[in-house]
Amino acid sequence: MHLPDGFLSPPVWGLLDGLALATVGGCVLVLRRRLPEDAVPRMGMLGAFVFAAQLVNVPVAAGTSGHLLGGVLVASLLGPAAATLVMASVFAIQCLLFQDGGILALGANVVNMGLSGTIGGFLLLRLLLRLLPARARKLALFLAAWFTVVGSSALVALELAASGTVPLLSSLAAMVGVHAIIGLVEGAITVAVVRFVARVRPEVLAGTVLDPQVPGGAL
Amino acid sequence: MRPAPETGAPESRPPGKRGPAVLVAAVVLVAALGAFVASSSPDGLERVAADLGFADQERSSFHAPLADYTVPGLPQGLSGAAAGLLGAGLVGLLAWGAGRLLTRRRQP
Repeated sequence: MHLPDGFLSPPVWGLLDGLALATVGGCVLVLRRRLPEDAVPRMGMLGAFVFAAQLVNVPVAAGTSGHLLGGVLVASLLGPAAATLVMASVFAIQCLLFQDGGILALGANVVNMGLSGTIGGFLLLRLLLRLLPARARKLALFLAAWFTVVGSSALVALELAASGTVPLLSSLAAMVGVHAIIGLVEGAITVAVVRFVARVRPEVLAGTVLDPQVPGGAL
Repeated sequence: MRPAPETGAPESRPPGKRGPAVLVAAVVLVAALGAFVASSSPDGLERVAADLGFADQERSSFHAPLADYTVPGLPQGLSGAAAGLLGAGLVGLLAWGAGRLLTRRRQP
C-alpha cells in the first residue's frame, strides 16, 4: 500500500508530511522521559522484523497480494510512542534506500501504514480489551489488526480522492474491498507473533495492554 | 509506565533464553529469502491504480540507490537477499539507535 510520488496532490502530501513529522516529534518528547532502557534492543529487533516481513507479499485474491503492516503488533509490545519511531524507521529506509514509496509521500506512508496502527489500532485494541472478556484477548488483537488494515486502505482512498486522482466512492470501494481480505493475514500474523513472545518472553508483556497478570488473560 | 519485573536472576526466566535467538534467526531468514517467496502479483493499491486507470500518474522525484530491492552489480538471486539483509540491518540499527539516544540523554 506504499504510495509513490505523483498519486497525491501537494496540499495533501504536504499536510501528511507535517502530521507525520509532528507526531514523530511528539513521540520523541514523550520517550525522552519514559522509554525504559530494556525496550531499546526490542525496538531494533522489531524494526528489523517488520522490514523483513514487509518484503513478503502474500497472494490474497484475484491476482492481488498484500504484506504485513505491523503497527498494532509493534505497539502492543512496545507501546504507541516507541512503536511510532520503529515504524517511521521502516518507512524511511524503504523510501530512501529502496524507493518503496515516494519521498514526498513519505509522511503519507508513515501516517497511513504506521500511525494508523501504532496510534489508531492501538487505541482500538485498548478499547476492545476493555469491552471484551479477558479470554477474548486474541480476538481483540486480531480485530484491531484487521481494522487497522481496512482503516489504512480507507485513508489512502480518501487521500487519493482529496488529491483529485480518482473519485471517492470508486477508490473507497476498491481499496477497502481488497484490504478486507489482506487484513485477515495481518490479524493472523499479529496474533501468532504476540503469542510467541508471550510464551518465550512473558516479562516483555508486563505492564503493556496485554499484561499477562490480568486474570484469565493468558494469550 | 511499566514495572520492572526482572530480578536479574538467570533462573527466573529459563524459557526466555531461546526467544531472542529464535527471533533473530527468523528475521535473518525472512530478510534473506523474502524476495524469493514473495508473490509478484500487484499489491492492493497497485491493483486499484491499474483498475481505476491512475497507475501512470506515478512520478519518481529521486532515484534511490537500491531501487526495487536490488543491489546493482550482484547476480539476480543474490541481489534480493543482500538487499533484504541490508535493509533489515539498517532499520534495526536506526530504531535501536533512536532508542539508545533517547535513553542516554536522560539525566540520572
